[in-house]
Amino acid sequence: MSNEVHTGHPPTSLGLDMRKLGMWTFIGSESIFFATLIANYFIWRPSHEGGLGPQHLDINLTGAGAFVLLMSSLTMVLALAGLREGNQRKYTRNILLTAGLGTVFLCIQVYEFTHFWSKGYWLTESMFGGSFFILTGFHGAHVFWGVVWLVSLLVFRVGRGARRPLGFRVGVDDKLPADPAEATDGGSYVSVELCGLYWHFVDLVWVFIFTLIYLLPY
Amino acid sequence: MATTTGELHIEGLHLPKEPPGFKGWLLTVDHKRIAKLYLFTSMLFFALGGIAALIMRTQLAVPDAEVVDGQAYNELFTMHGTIMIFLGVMPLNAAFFNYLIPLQIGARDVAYPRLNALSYWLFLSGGLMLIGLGLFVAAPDAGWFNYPPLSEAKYSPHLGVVVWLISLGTLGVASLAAAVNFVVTILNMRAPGMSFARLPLFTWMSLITQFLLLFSMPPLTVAFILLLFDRVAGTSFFQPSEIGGDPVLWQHMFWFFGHPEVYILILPPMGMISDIIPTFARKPIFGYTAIVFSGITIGFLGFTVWVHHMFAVGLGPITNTVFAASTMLIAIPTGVKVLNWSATLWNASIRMTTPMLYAVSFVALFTVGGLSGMMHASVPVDHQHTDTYFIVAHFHYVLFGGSMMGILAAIYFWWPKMFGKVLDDSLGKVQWALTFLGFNLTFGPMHVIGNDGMPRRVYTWAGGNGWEWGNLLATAGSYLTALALALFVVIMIKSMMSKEEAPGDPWDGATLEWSIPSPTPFYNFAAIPTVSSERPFWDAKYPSHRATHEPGNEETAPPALYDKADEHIHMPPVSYWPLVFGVGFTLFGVGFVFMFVPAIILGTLMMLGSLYGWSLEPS
Repeated sequence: MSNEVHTGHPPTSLGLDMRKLGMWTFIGSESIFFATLIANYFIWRPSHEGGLGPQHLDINLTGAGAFVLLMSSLTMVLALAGLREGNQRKYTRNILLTAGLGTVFLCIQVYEFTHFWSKGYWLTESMFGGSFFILTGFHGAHVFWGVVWLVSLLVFRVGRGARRPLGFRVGVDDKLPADPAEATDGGSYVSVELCGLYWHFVDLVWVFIFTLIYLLPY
Repeated sequence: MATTTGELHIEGLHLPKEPPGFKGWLLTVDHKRIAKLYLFTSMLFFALGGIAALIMRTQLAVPDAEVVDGQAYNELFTMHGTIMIFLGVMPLNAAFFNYLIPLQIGARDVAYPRLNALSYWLFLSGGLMLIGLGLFVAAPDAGWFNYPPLSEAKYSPHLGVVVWLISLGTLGVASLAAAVNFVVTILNMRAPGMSFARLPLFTWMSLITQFLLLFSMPPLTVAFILLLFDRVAGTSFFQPSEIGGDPVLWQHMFWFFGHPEVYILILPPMGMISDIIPTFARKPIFGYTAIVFSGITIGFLGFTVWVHHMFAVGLGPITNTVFAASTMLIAIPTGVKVLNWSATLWNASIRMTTPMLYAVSFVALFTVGGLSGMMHASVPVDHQHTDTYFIVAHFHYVLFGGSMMGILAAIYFWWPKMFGKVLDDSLGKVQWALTFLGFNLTFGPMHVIGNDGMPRRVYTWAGGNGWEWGNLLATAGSYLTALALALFVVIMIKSMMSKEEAPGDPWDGATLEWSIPSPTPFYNFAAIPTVSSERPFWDAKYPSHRATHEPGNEETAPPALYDKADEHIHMPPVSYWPLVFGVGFTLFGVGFVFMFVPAIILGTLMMLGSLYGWSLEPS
């Protein structure tokens, strides 16, 4: 009970962290989102006359992108390991690496998109093109927000120097935990894990997209 | 310290207080205040949807009427359907998710209180965008199902469809955030002893509903995105063109959401009456486990029947037969529920209060709607009835006769807990009688005129087909229903102004929410309860009538509901950020409709800023 009073949060029914359970629930919903986009792509895959088609896809380039993104999952795991060991430098280095590899992936995608665009292939020339750009584009947007999140982890240390809205004090127990070290550790640890869950999910979606779109016709 | 009620008075215990004033409401993260915001906002929206319905019924009262023209009529039925589903029934259900789930599981708030506030602000934003832009810029006019190619830029050149897509997209984000929130709340914040086999049935049905939302919203979101691309970027996913495009794809994506949506609307009211009927039957619910599992089955099968909305499209006999079979299958778990409610009433000493009248009306009218729905599992019957008033009659028996009757039962039932005042029971019975009569007068005759071939979604009709009496009755009934709902507003105002205070347990209830004072204190429970049966408060009140008899253990008194007081009660602090995020989202949405880039940029920055503010705030 003393622990409960200290952090202000009672233990959970399933023994799982609240925020991680929420992230898993959200990921469940996101899976259906991407599944629908992939289904939409497969519906329109055969219609590519006069526009972008499977024959235009360059597996060497996107293969490199896939490798980069998979490696970023590894560095994400290493970053978490660094945090667990209390190795701040390892953590920072690997978060930066993860964000960097994500950025390289995004650059490859931007290059791929502009390459097609410069050849006159965009959304409206073929159904294949429309469904391809929307599917991979939404995945790219997810990677982009992942990179923003990763960088934010380093810029803002969660739990330290936290402020509240002006003018209100709610309840007698409404103060920051007595031990700031615990607050920082307990707070930022889960936020890094949450970011990691999201990042691995986005990587996994790419494994599906890469296999189904690039590898299958190849 | 052992006591049955949550009214603990402990020396030296400081109980947290609600933040005061209007500002307190704007920044609130309290699930009870958010519930009240949902309740009254959706009542206002509901009234607007009702006015649209009344104008339509006035137009249809007699043949060849000229109250509104075809375009206005299209806008009216589009707005009526969209408002009633997304701004009426769904947020009314959300009001009860918010209010009851934490109370029924013995928690002090939901899992993410600020996200909960954000859900409300996004719901308000979506509603205001739909109605504001709809009234003053361009009203959507392609039906609540928004079928392309009618909804494509070629045939709906004005902004109405974009307004519809953006505001419903906003409501979708609100629902999704709420769904994640309630799933985690129910899974992870149950009081000690509140196992899944002891969850109150409303909470159970709500949990299933949240999963339906989680898995049915994404396909709808994708459909919205693709249609937006069609309209804004010139793709042709849903309109036939030289390079392809197929309107039927929209129908699949829409109804893959649309059919689970039916259960999203009906499962929470099913849960409500599963808690109300046993209270007034003064018996435990018949077959608790059967109700839970039939609910799960309905949720699962709800994803396998969407093509029955598309039987007339012509997908071929095999497809139609498969979906006819799955549609018939879903009648089984639904029938199980109707049997459970009926069997709970069997041989019971029933107290016929207003909430009970509404709850049994739900069972009767929902059964009528369910049976007429079953008729359409048969493809030939469906072909006969497609696009006629028979369908209008069918889904109003399910949505009004079902969902709304259940929600009205719930408002009468839980109002004392929410506001600490009782709704007048005698006036309530009059109000119920008017609603019941008005509803059946409106939609009963539609079965007959629909079967006789009167088409729906047509703004006027010719005389001489035998439809005169039915339409006149329906219009009279709609005015009677409006009168009944106006009387309900009077009853609510009367209750608010009355000095009579409701007791904590006015109905002799069984679940945890009745064990605490009315209205619910800010902190809900002075001490977190310990639950030892599916009717914890009942067992605490009547130890000799314990619901759960363990063999050889009948004489043992149940463990006290509240045996240890909490020394400190932690309540989440108020926050600006949900409101800022909501305003940013609205700017973004309105900017997107008009393609006004500064508003889009400002909105995005506000959302981004509030996300940072949000994560730097202590929770």
